[in-house]
Amino acid sequence: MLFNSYIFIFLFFPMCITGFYLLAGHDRDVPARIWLIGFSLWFYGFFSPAYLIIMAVSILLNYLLTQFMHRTDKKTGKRAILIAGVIINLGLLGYFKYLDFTISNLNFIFKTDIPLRGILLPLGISFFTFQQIGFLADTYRGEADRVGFIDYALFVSLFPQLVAGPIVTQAEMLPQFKTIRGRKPEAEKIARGLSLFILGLSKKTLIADSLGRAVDAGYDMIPQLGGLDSFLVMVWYALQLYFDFSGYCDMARGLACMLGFELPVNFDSPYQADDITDFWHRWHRTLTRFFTAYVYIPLGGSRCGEVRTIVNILIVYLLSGLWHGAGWNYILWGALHGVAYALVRTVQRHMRRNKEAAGATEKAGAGQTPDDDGRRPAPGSIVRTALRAAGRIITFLYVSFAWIYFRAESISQGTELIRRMFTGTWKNVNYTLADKFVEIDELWYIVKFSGLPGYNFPLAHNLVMIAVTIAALVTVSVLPNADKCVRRMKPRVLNAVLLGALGLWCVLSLSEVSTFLYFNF
Amino acid sequence: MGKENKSGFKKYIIILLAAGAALALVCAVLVVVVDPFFHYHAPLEGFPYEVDNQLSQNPGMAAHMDYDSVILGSSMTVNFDTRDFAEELGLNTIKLPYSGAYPRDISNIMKIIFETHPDTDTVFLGIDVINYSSDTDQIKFPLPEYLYDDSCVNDINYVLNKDVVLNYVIKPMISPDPTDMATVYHSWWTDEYYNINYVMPNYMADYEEMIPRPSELPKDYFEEQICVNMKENILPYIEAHPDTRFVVFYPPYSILFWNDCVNQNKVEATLHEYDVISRMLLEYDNCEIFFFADEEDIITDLNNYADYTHYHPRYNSLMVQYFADGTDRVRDASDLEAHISHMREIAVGFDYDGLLDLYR
Repeated sequence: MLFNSYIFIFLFFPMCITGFYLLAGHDRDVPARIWLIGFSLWFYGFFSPAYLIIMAVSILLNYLLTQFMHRTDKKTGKRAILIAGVIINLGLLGYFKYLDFTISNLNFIFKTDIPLRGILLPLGISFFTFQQIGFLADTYRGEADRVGFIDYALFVSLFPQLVAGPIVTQAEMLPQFKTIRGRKPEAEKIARGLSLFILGLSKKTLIADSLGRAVDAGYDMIPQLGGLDSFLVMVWYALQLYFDFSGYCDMARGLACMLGFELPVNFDSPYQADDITDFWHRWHRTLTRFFTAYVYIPLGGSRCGEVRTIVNILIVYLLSGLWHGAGWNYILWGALHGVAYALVRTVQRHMRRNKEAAGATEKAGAGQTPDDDGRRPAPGSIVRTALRAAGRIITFLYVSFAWIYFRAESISQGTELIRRMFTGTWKNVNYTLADKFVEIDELWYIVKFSGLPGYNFPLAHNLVMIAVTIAALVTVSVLPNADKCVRRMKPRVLNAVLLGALGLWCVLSLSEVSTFLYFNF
Repeated sequence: MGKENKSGFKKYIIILLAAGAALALVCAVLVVVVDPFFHYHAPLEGFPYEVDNQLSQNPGMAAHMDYDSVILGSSMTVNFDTRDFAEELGLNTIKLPYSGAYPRDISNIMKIIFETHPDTDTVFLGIDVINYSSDTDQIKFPLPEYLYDDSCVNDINYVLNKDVVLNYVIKPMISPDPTDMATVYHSWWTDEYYNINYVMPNYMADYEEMIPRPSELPKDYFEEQICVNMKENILPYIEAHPDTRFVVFYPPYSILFWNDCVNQNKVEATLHEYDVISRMLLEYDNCEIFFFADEEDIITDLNNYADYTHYHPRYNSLMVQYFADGTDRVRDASDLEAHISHMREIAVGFDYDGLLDLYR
């Protein structure tokens, strides 16, 4: 089931929240948890009942492994269970996600003809697999308390975070389960959660999906794209991905908040990052946290010398690429980020060391020192502000460039888009792309009433396209994100009416009239 | 302070939900009253309806409009003018085509037609033989199910739908451009597109001559599936409605269609499709067949076409005349054999290389 569906908004969630608070508020905490698990299973099984079996088996196996681990006193025994658990989890993930990729590579290398299996990837398997590996590792380290099966199943399956994260840890979720007993609906949490859900829904349905039309059109017609077209397609995809994924996470946080849970913030205005290292502190933060805790640090992190640190960073980003998708384009995307991250981090460390050696830190006055994490230059002078702005722009462009391979169906397709950026014309925009923006229903009215030239006039289409692109860029690069807006929000009547109208607008956007322009049979 | 804050947020939630619900109600009422897809009622008198979406608007038109005959088929039927049917045949006709229609698409709309208008006088059905060997449940495009079933619950997709509200309710009010129902769904090609110099370059761009030619497709290659399709999707309606006249016709594709058949070495298999379908239909007294596919003067002149199959609207008018005067009607097996033989002569004897060489 999708958050952005009628059934979720009008039936599933109202039933879920009502039943949950009725049970929890009457101190029936176990039934309340079972209620949430039941709804989570409904939510997940709605995609495909077969997925449900896979997730149930995964939960059961992992729970048993954690129980075995608790019962084993010896470190070696715990270690063996951990290794077995990681192998089982990665094996499951590997079977569903990477088997065909592996077969096609083997076929290519050994000139064999092993048939592909065409296995459908169960939704969210990457997320719940990682979450459970994290739980196993925490148990091995002695950081996770023993939990009952119901709490464990709820930890893995809780529907707001089940399909696309954020990837939560046992340390942040299990304590919240302990407070379910007697939990009553809090007006503020429901108001803020509802508002965050609506903002997330609008990011997804009104912005991301609209940009997606132009992106899809662009990738479908790469041979016809000019230089400016290709550049715009790259930028639109960067925007689409952010609004889509962060919108989903906002909805997840909003839903959890209404139920009285707090999920971690997964996106902290990532396109306001000053450099690539800053970007990864802001983009999909819970994935970065997972890789840091369970891959980077166990590999030695930054404790084993500079070269080893760089290797560790590269391993993490290559794995991150592979986690995102079974394809060489994803691995290349990961490599682009890994190389950039290692490079920027190394330069920053050297600069910091040089500064420290020169005693610059002591001499510098307040407001001129690097901030606590040493990454960002402090504001103060025009030059610094300009440098910071340049850093943001360069980071955005580099990240957008790397996203090309993330979106492309293959490395060659992505490379072709880039090639066209440097060989095609920058004098105009392909009309088909501009036209996609006027297909957005609301924009017909803007063109109609704004005094822009007539509906079918290309200039109007281009102006609308430029306006939408600039508005989206300003939103991501300057304005506070949805989470911050909701945290600062005052419960004013105007806010409520506007959010109510926005919510309705999103609901109206859930169903589109099927259209086609087909004149051959 | 805490209490005030709490009540402030309570009030906020109530206002937010109330605002959303009130606006939702306004939208839903607008859609139900105007009903641009005719899902609940016949068109309002004087409202400038825009009709341009076959998938969404055909079922409502079939259910709630006033008519005594219908035109069904693929894009081969979109250029009919229903005024011709009134003038030539005295029928009040509506067009319910589906571009690229498969037999199941036809069956889906016939189900609605006969449920709501069981006394329909005539069904004009254009048959594209090559689509009749498809799977019996194949449809060209996914249907908006909520407009085709009887469930009220999924009508939320219709009554709370931005496209419907903005494009089909408010936009016609602001900028009225009502559709002429006599020519609804007309193709966008204007007269200048019906030109050999427009048709051939587009055709040649996608044309790949098969060298060597594949081995000839067995004559009965499509027969079994065509029979299944006819029995499941078409014949039940003909049998169940003996008082309705079914006028089935084969559209006149251009010679380029037959060039494709020659190129793929399936001329006999294609001709046999016409034969199989026609013989099944000849069994029914309430069924008339018109064979326009072998109209030599039309199909060999590419200035009559906008692409390899789509002919000028004047031939739609001509077909209506023929429906009235009986030209090209297949009354029995010998008529059928004559038409198929003629078609074979044209398809096999045409100088394709002479035509293609001009545009290679």
